[in-house]
Amino acid sequence: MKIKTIAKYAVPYVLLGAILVFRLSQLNSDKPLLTPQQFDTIVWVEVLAMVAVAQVLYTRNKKLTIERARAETLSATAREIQNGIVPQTKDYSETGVEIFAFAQPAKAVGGDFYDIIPLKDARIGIVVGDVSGKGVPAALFMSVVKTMIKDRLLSGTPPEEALNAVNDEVCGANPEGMFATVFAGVFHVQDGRLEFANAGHTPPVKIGGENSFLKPDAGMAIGLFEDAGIIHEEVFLKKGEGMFFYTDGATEAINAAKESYGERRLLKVCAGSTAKSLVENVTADVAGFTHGLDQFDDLTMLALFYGKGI
Amino acid sequence: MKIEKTQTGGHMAFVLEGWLDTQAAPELEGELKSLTDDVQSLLFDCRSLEYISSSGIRQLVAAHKQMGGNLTLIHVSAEIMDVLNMTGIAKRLNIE
Repeated sequence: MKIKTIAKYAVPYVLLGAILVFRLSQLNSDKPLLTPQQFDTIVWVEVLAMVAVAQVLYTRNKKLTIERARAETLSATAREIQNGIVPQTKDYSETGVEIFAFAQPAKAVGGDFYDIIPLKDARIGIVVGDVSGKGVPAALFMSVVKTMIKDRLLSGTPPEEALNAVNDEVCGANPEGMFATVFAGVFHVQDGRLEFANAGHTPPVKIGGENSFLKPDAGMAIGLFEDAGIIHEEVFLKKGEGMFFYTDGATEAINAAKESYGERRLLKVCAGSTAKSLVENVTADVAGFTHGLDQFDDLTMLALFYGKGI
Repeated sequence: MKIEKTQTGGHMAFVLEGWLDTQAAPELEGELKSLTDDVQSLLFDCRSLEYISSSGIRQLVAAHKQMGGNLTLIHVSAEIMDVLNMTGIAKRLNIE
């Protein structure tokens, strides 16, 4: 409660205190200013005022409690829906490929997303994205963008065409100027080829021998300018190699000394015998780095290994 | 964030100082909204701009569009250029 509100409600109590003190001081006086009856009337009015104030405080508190409970229910429901759209963890394996994804919003809901989309002809769509901002607005924008991309990949559109088309569509209906960085790929399980297209997203790590950052064309984040000009690119994985996708919730994670986790640390820690253990190792390392500080940004990771799996 | 404005004829210059983040973005938005019609070109001097968040990026793009492309950014730090390059918008903005 604000100071002004407390002061307002405290007035009757302070007045009563003053009156009592005044009365006490008059007890032994020869010429009291008020008669006992006058004094008693004033005290009664004061007591009534205090009761009224107590009543108001009680009702106000009850209202606040109900509002808080309602907000928490809404938040829990939103979280449930978010978890349906972007499950906190997802495991996907088939012969020749093993994928593990992890998503943790900073608030109840958020704008980070991943998608694992089995496609025809032994291919898998892999999408990782990060919507500007956090919370409900980001989550709303995210669910639209994610669905648009998935639909296009499912209907056979190559990743760069999907991102360019979604960008143009979003630019046409985006009064708030929100945007999303997205990395969309199609992985060919039979030969380890990853076709991909990048819309301003953090470059993924290629895992194998020595880790290195993939250097995709920057493209253009989705939602800002029409005709993004996102291009088609490819990389081949050998058996045993993998890819690690993430959002800047990892690299921009800050510790108490205001240092950021950074790309170099990420490159070093990117190791694991399985997709799941790789994600777990990175998650643990980021958590160790931030050491108990609240998560500031949405965090999402996806690891893919070629040549492993059932 | 501090915004120092200087107008010379139809040209307006903003010197941005500090962080262009979620808190500061509405300030910039307010300044952009209050630009009068006689302002034909806009300049952002970013020498004291230390950090830009996604809210900041949204404002930059909004300013660029509002000015019909007549927005120039100067003295952009290496860190902020990294962000503008990675998101691809450096290609569309006028950066000197």
